[in-house]
Parts: sequence; structure tokens; C-alpha cells
Amino acid sequence: MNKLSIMLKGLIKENPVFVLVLGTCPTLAVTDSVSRALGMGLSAAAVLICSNIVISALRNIIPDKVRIPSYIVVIAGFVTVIQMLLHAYLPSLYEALGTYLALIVVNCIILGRAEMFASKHNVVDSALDGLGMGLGFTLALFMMGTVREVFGAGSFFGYEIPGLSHYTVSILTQAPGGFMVFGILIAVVNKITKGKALKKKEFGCAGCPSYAVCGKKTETEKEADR
Amino acid sequence: MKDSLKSIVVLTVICLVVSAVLAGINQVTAPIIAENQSSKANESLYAVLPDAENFEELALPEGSPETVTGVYRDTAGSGYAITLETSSQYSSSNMLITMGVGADGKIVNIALTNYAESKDFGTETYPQTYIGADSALSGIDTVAGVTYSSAAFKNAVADGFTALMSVADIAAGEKTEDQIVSEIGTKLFPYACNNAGVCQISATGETYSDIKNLYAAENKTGYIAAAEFGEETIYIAFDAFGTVISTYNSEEEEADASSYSAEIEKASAEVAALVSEKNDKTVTRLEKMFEGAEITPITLNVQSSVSSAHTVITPDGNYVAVTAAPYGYGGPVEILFVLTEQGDIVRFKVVSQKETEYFGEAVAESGYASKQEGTSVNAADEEAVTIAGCTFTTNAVKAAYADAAEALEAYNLFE
Repeated sequence: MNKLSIMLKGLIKENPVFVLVLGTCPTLAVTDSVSRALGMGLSAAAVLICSNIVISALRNIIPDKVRIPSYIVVIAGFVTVIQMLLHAYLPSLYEALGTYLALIVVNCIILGRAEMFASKHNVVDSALDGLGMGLGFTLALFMMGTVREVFGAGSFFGYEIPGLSHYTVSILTQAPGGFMVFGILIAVVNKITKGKALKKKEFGCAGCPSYAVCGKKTETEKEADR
Repeated sequence: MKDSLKSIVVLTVICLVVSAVLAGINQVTAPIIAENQSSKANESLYAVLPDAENFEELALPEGSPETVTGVYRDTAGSGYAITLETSSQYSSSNMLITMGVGADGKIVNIALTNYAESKDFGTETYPQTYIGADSALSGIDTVAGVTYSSAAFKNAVADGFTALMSVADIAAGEKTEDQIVSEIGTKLFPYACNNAGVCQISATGETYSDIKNLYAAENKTGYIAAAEFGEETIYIAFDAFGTVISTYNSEEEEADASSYSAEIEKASAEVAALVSEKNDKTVTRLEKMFEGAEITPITLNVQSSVSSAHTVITPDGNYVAVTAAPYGYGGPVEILFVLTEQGDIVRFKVVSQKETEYFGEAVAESGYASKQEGTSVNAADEEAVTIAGCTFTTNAVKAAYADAAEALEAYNLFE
């Protein structure tokens, strides 16, 4: 896999939101406005890149037994750094994101990439994977935020769109509207990729960090383990 | 065992490194965050004092006006911000005002952050008229028709200056002659003040050769003459009958009248002319009521809404005519009572009034007057006096009864 494709796969083919269906909670919560969505996407991307680099660099040092706690400490550290920086330099964005900023710690995209990619690849590849996945997450949030804000509130980045502000579909800014837009966009991405993306084994149960313990193994796999 | 030890060491080291990094970043961001938070709390203060760097709250001494909720000083010295809370008691919530005062003692900006009064005094425009004013607030009027709310606003701003001057080194603004007269009037002639507590006293508009200016109360119950005394201006207050009540120097302090005898003499002559002009009108009115009667103006020692008194001598009997003009809702309700020496009302006439249409008609109609005639001024007939739903006008009539009764008593004592 060349470097470019590592980065690009996160954008569409393995988009964390529309294909891997990870990080649904912040996706639905903060996409009622474009600026919040973009702020959330970039914050998560920054954490993702940094944590991927550090986890990849430490992949041979961290013992297997404590890898998950170690990842969580690293991720939580970066999230806190982002939180402090936003609070100091972009207080309005900090307030707009509220508790979802702190919840990046438990965002499964970040832990998922740490477990699935960074712990198995070198630093450069991991950084590129973080960049691609982060941008893919940001792109997904931006698209959802755009649809929801433009048609739900008649504005873009808070600026009113002339002519549209009187014809808004206000349900789009609420949770049910968020689910609808989410579903429709997944369908669109699925159509574009002709459904190929979803069939990869990596994205099924086997790709899950908890796969080994969740009891979903097939009989043959259990046999192989024995 | 070795594995477990390695796990513990690695996890501990990771935790320590992360903690150290966070501590370092916190060192940088914490002061910025603290500054952001304090500036957010003071946002409304910065709005009225944009050049300020940082605000510190000043402790107000005991007995400061209750309307003042906080006085803040810009640590860079550009001025002060004052938060105020007031009400005209005709609203669902209090007015909230923030005013910025520059180091020169002049209002830099003023913001009205909450306004729930029933009538709008121009929430956008009226506060703007205060910009540039000093503690004297000269040239700033209340808004006609919204007197209660605008007077409450103005009083709050004045309170703000009072509190500010008690804690900060701000020079008091120089008051204009009109303001000083209005303040003296409010003190001496409470019966010449409307229901919002604003004294209705204004210059006669004439020019005088021997005194500087002459002011008359709207209901003609008092006069204030401004006269020059060397470099300073002195103020001489007269009652409705042209008798000197007190004298004030330019600092608004009561002064010994004997040192200004020449000025008082000149002013008395001018006031006497106004009093006699006022009396002439009443005499004409009484002559129409009592043909061939002998009518003489009298001077009583009363300070009330009574603006004039006369004796009326007719072949049928002798009467005392008293004009009282207390404030109703819209202005003075001027009532002429013609009384027997025992206080029986022979004639009751509303000479002038500025009440709203319906109540004005109700009090001025002949039916209302005839209900009063025959009763005693000493004991107002509650039923006859009351106009339903019209507290202000009714209270004005009651005040007129009380003041007329007092005037009659003073007359009888004198006799």
C-alpha cells in the first residue's frame, strides 16, 4: 500500500463515519451547525494524528496486557491538550463544542485506529492514516453539518442565506433530522463505492478490538484458537 | 512476574510523561483562560468603557444609593464603569443600566440592558442623550409622557455619580442655574412637584434689569429669583404670596438673608408684580361670581398648594376665597373654593386642569362642583370627592380640600 493511498482511503473508501460507522455520537450531536461540525472534526483529527504517531512509536515498548489503558492515557492526554488550547485561544468554539470535546477520548475512531492500524504500522504510515481518517471524519461532519444547517436553519457558518431562511426544514437541526441525513449520506456513499467498501473483512466483527472476547467467533475460528 | 513489572513500569512512565506535558501546557494556557473569563464577566463593562484594560470592583461605603449595584475602576485609569438597577414601579422587572464614566467625570457611554416599563421612552435614543454629561446632568430632561420611567432612569444615573464621587476622585460637574433652581424648588416646594417627583418650575421668560432671572412654579405656589451678588449668583425663594422663605448662595447652601438685603428688595418687587398679576385674574373671576362684592387679596402664612387667597365682602355675607392647585395625573388641578369663615363651601370651581380627557371632564363638570358645594372644607365628603377609577385626580381634589382648610385656619387665626 503506497503512502498516498493510506491517506486517501480514509476520505471516502474507508470513511470512518459513512463506511466504518464509527463516532456516531459526536457526528449526530455537533452537526447541527457547520462551524461546530468543522471544529469537532479538526479537533478529533488533531488528536487522531498525534495519538497515532505516539502509539505507533511506542508499539514495541507497550506490553500487550496494558495496551488499551496506555492508548487511553495517551489519547486522553492529547484531548486535554486540545481542550486547554481551545479554551485559551478559541473560547467560543470551546463553548460551542461543550462536553463533546472531552468525549473525543472515548471516540471509537481514535481508539479503533490505534488498535487496528497504529499498533501494527510504522510512524509515518500511522501519521498518514491519522491524517486521512481525521480528514475523512472532518469531511463527513462538514457534509452533514452543511446539509443540516443550510436546509434546517437557512444559514451557512451562521450567515443567513437570503431567500432560504424563510423555507427551513427545522427538524433537520434536531436529533431525528440528524439520523435521517446520516442515513441518506451513508446510502449515497454506499452507492458511490458500489457497496464494495462494506464487504471487507476488516470492517466486520473481525476488525473489532473486542473481537477476541465478545463470543462472536465462528466455530472454525474457535477450533483454530485451540 | 517480569511481564507484570514491565507493564506497571511502562504504564506509570506513560502517565508521568503525559502529566508532565499537560502541566507544561497548563502553565501557558491557564493565565490566558483566566483572563478570558474575567473579560467575559466584564463584557458589559467594556461595552461602556471600551478603552479599559481590566476592571477591579470598588467597595462602596455604607449608605450608598440602593440603585447602585457596583462601581468598577479600570486599572489602566481610563475611567469607571457603574452598574445600576432601578424601577419606576410600573414594570414587571427592574431597569438595568451600565454607565461608563471617563477619568474626566463625563459619561463615555451608557447602556440599558433591561427595560420592561409599560411605556418606551426611546430605549435606543434616550440613554444616548446622557453621553458627555457630567455629574450635574445639565441639559438632560425627562421624556414627556414617559415621565416616571425617564425620571427613574435619570435619578439612577445621578445616584451612580453620587456613589462614584464617594469612592473616586471625580470632580463634580458644574450645575446650571436652571438645575440649581429646580433642586431648590424640589426641596422647598414639594407641592409644586408632579407625581414623578419632578419640580415643575421654570423661568418666566422675561428679562429683568435688576435681577438675573425669575422662576415661577407651574401651579404658582412659589417663586425663585436668581440675582447677582458680586461674582456669584444667589437664589431667593418666595412663597405663593411673595414672602421670602429662604436664600441660597451659589453652592446651594442656605445663606443669611441679611447680607443680601438689597438683592432681596429688588427681587421682592419683581415677585410682587407676578403675584399681583395672578391675583388680578382671580379677582376678575370672583367679581363675575359675586357682583358688586368687595374683593381684597390677602397674604397667608401657609406653604402648600394654595396659590392665592382673597376676602369677598358681599351684602349677603363675608367669604374667604382660596385657590389651591395640587398635582393630579397630568398637571396641577387648580380649584377655587369660596368658603364661609366656618369652612362651608359656598362655591367650588375647577379653574384649570390637565387631566386625561375623561377624568378632566369628570372633575370640571358642574355636577361634580355642585356635589361639593354645601359640604365643609374641613371634612371632605368621601363619596362626593371620589371619581371612580381616577386615583390621581381624586387625590388632587383631596389635597386641595386639606390645603384650603389649612389656609382658612391660618386666616381665622390671623383675623
